[in-house]
Amino acid sequence: MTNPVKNMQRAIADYKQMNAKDQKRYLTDMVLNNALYILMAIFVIYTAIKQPNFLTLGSFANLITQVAAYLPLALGIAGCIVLTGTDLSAGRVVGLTAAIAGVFMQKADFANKMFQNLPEITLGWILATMLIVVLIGAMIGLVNGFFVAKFSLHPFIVTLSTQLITYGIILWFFALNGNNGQPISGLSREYKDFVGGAMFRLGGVAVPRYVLYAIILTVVMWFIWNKTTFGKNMFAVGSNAEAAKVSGVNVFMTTVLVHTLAGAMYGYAGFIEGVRAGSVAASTGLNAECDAIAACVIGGVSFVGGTGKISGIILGVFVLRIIFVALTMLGVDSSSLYIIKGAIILCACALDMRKYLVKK
Amino acid sequence: MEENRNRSELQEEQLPKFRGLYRNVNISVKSLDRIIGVCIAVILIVVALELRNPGFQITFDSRGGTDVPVQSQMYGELLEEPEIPTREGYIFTGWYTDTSCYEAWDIDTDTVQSDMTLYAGWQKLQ
Amino acid sequence: MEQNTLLKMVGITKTFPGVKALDGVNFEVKRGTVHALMGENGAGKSTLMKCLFGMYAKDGGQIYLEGNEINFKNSKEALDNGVAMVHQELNQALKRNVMDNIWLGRYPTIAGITVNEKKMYQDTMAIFKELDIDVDPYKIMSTMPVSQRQMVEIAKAVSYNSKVIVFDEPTSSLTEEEVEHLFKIINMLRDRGVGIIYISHKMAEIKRISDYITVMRDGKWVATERAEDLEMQDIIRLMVGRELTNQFPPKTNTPGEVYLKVEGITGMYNQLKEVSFEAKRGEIVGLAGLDASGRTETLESIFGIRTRKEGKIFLDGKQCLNRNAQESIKNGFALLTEERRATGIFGVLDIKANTVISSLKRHKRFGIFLSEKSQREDTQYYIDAMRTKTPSQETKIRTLSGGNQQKVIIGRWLLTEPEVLLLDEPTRGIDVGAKYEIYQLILDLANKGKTVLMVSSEMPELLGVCDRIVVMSGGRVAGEVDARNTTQEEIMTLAAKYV
Repeated sequence: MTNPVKNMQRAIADYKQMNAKDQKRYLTDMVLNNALYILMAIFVIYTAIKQPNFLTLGSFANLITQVAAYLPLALGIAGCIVLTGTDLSAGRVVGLTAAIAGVFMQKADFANKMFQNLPEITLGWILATMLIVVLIGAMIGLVNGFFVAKFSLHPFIVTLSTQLITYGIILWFFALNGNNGQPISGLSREYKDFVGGAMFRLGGVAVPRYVLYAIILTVVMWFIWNKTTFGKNMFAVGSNAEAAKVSGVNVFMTTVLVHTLAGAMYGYAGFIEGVRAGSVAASTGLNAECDAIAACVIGGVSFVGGTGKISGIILGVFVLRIIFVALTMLGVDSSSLYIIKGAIILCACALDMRKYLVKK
Repeated sequence: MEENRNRSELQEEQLPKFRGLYRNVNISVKSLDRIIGVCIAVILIVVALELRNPGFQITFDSRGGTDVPVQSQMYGELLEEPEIPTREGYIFTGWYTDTSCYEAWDIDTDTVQSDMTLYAGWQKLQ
Repeated sequence: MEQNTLLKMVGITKTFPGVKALDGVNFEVKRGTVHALMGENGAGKSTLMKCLFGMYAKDGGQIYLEGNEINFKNSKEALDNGVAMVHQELNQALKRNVMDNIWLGRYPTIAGITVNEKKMYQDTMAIFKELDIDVDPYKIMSTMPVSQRQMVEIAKAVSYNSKVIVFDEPTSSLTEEEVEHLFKIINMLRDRGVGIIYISHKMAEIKRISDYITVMRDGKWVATERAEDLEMQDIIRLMVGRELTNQFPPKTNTPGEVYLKVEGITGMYNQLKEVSFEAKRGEIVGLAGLDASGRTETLESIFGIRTRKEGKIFLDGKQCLNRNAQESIKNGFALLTEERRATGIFGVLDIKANTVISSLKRHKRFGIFLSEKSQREDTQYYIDAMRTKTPSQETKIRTLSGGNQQKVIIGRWLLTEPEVLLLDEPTRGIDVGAKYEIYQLILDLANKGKTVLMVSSEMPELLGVCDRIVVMSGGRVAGEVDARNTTQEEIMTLAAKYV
């Protein structure tokens, strides 16, 4: 069963046995089930022809950099999706934590520095800042989780509310100390190095440190999902909350913790976001959850709940990023990318359902 | 083993189709195929439309100075040297990516990554 | 009476990728007869019916209705042509009233615009009178018990002037009395010349109601006989393909001293009132009663997933609080729930995850890490011990048959090393062969000195397996009987005490 070669051989043997009508149906199924991968392949090939510098080490480095930036959010949101929920507040939480991290990490001699009496930027203060923003993210996640679990409210409603509330806080924050909504810039060299400093170069393009951090996070999340009681409980609750309750799983705790963990991931994502974009504006992180949800659904973290793998999430983020990198190089502007993103999410959901539908 | 397989697949047939977020969904494979088809078509059409006029818009906000025309460039290309704006009582200090004029745009090395706006930096004459 | 053929299915074949679900099945229903369709789970009964109603496209064979070949595309089309189905799980608009449900999609109208409520009411009443159903057409569906909703479903089928009506496990949630009423209606329909297809696991019912019996096994037609020519043993033999000598294993357990004591449980949000009883070590205590008599609620209150207003639980003389499932498990309780699919299995998860979920603590290493090896060992142990039929530990549980799912869940509970097992309808929806194995398992547990509380709606099962039976009625304990020297009549009399 697990041997891919044998599976392949059996599939081919099965295929040969079918009559012409079944063969046609089989092929249509194949094409439709892999529609997004085929779409990706088309874009990649077309871009490779049009833009010779697409298939280079440099653009690969660019790709993994982008994947590393989008992965933490997807890893966080995936837990909520496993619980048959979702999280719409992710993007705004990233915005808030990015702003806070940005303010803490502004250069001492920067003219528009928002707070003057902050500690000197040392490794300790950078780590402390990271911890603070991760905790802030976790706090918002905790609120999400509490309302979802305690009042059995649908996560859509709860996270929609926290999304708005968080945005309000972001706007307040940007108006502090006479800042008047100006973007936060002037990030210190030390902070930029810590997050985005080059580890090595691939084809002349620097690979930043947060690629390494993303790998560490992935390993940690894999461990949590597969090797801990919490992970097993999460899948049980997502698969059948009633049965989980009867089986002695603390459904309330599990739900709260999943959302809290997701929030912590957004906090981390916010910490690197400032460096990635160069500055933090009130709109930073807007709609970031859409990319993350799309990546999860493409990667097989299904809305039916209780299913999903870390490897799937990584694959999903890669597919999405490859499509967007290709389209960017072709010169497709960001407004069109939104339309394409929407269509991809719908398409991924339809594909997801198709997988679970009884074959007629 | 064969009998078991038979049995298991049949069991699966008898279960309700969806749960979780899709719990109330009732849809045929045919309709799903159509939705997938339409989505893919939308994506391809949007891309095709974009490719007729590819490139990114770079807008120059001279912030009180004389207007500078918009440029259109492909991904990874350098900007054409924009004309230098003038403003009475100020000296132009360069183009910046942020309004607080901290992150400078280096015309010679920085390449276009997406649509963007560059802001003019001004220094007041004494 | 004229016995001409109404519905005829010839050589129906249906293949799913790699599996032949139906293999040249022939099936024939005569006018004015009840035709029972029997077979173990997965024998192809449901698939055959789904082919009839067009939910699956058949690969081969023909279906004739009154001599004309038909090929329905969906159940609506089948209904319009006089082929109706009363489902096991009722699909109804629960928030609407009775007549809305009957006339849904074809409301009688005035001038094609406004719904003619009066006509709808009159038509509904006419059908109800005909069928001797006592239901208010204005009643909201969700406020009615399942039995009445089922009646409405039957009335709907009749209102379409159906020639063939399929009953899929119609009695699984009915009380004896309601079953009687259902049979009266079925007999009435038969006398009107309707062909009835009756799918059920319950032998006694089948023997009583049907004229013909068709048995299927592994997607194949096995036999069609007149009902009076088949004895119960014959049917079982045909279904499982081998002889089953006994329905119940011999009783070998000997009850010891009193272990569990339940005192005066009164429910906060349910009908339980002053429920008290005792159970000994190594004893199997049955909980009998009608639907809604509080049997399930009693088990769930003991297990702490229902809120108690009052009442105490003692284990070996020490009080247990059992405020929630975690606490009860720690105290040595285990609860096998009634609705296996809704509250028992984690459908999309594999057998391993389903087995170890309640006993993850056993596999913890260094405080956080779960050992894969010990999880596999435990799972394999219970797959072997229960003779669960599964291709592998990684198989998703929803693909197993009901009996095998039940074994996995029992294994899950045994891993928590319980002293008191609360079993709610442990054999519901399980094949005859697998039932025997479950009974044996229950007896084995009692032999090991565990206390077993078992709820069942099947009276013979309680009489065959239990030592003592506590009869409940209207949320109260109506009495206790010794399973060895009691009769179904005695239990039924007690069960009706507080109704």
